[in-house]
Amino acid sequence: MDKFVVKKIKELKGIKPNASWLESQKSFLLSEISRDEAKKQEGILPLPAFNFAKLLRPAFLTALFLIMALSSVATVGAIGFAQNSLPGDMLYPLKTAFEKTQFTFTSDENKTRLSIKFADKRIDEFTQIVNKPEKREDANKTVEEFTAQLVNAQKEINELKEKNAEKAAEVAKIVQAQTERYKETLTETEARLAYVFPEEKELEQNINNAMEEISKTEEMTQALVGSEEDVEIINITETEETEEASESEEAIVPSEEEKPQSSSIEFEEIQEEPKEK
Amino acid sequence: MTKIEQVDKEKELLSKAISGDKESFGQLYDFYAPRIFRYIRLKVGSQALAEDLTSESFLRMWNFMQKEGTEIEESFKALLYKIAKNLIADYYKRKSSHEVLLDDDFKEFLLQEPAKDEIKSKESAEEIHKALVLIKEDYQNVIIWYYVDELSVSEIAELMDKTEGAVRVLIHRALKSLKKELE
Repeated sequence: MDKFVVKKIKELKGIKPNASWLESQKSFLLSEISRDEAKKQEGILPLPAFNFAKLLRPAFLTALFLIMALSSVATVGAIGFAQNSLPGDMLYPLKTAFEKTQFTFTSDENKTRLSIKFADKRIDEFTQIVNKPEKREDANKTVEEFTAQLVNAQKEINELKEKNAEKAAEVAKIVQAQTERYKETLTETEARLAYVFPEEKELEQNINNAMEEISKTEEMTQALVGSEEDVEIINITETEETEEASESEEAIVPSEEEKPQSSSIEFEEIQEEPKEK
Repeated sequence: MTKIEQVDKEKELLSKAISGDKESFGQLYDFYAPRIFRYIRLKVGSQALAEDLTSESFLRMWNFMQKEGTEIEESFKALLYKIAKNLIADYYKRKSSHEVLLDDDFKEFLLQEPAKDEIKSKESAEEIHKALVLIKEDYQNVIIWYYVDELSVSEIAELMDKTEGAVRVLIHRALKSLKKELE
């Protein structure tokens, strides 16, 4: 009976971590170590997030407790510990460092999508912590990070535009879909700010900067999405002129080239919206 | 590589890592990360949590090495497992119950590369895990360390700060307890 049970236990050896996680974590660890070494040489204290051994155990336990208390996930087994952490939490730097590693290993084409994904996360984190006075500084940093991700996204789209205009327009559409939500979220938060900490000029300024970048991103994406459809309008116009000039008695059958007409109408409608606002 | 050769190699890597050699630390990570992950995974029941705690274990290990330096007398293995064990204990201190959730992804996790002849063994692995989480903490640990991670009795003794005799008794009792849960 013993041998049978032992044989069964040994089947648990098959449990393995995800291979890509293993690899990316190694890179993350080694980069954190390098950063820590570099800072030591400069005489700067290592980041608290990395210097766990020097932190008092009770502080870590408190942070752990805070994470548990803040988590809104019903089943504990489903919690990705660091992934659900918020700015100011002990494991939060682990989350952002892992994002940086993801960014390093992603292709150029997908960098914008990743930047927007991170911008989404920052804005969500911001809404969760903005009303907590003890997280005031973290809220500031989070908005700054959000703005930085938008600036990254703009830069990446510009670079992609040089290589592949079609792909750039495709990505621009994805970004465009998010900018409205960002504006609404920040506007709503700004309105609430006056009641929570009226003196927070810095936060107000950061939110204004974020709104500016959102507008810039909107303009850029509209231009890109619009320019792709402009090309289609020109093509339709040329096709129509050619057909008019033709003396053929063949019945005019809707061609593939005429289909984009509907999207050009959409473009005009989109154009009108901002004016109405 | 024989066990002795492995121990010597590890001492060499530890010594270099303490001096700040990242490459050596990377090699230690390569060997131990899957093992530490597996241990934690069996104890906490969540993939994401196990990943985070595994990362945390290595970060703490690095910091400890840099802080204590050549004062370290214990083996890398013993220290790392101790750190992982403590992190799990800390996690449970903050939970309202000691229940280890066998979340849905565990079944999927076990069946990651299902071959026809393997599915049956994967299912029995799930059965064993369900029984394992029901026995005492110390019993769970020695079973995982001795049978799954194949640590020696002396290594487990070092890790638990017990005598080798005490560890042997523990293993015997743990197996008995597990068999009872399986019935």
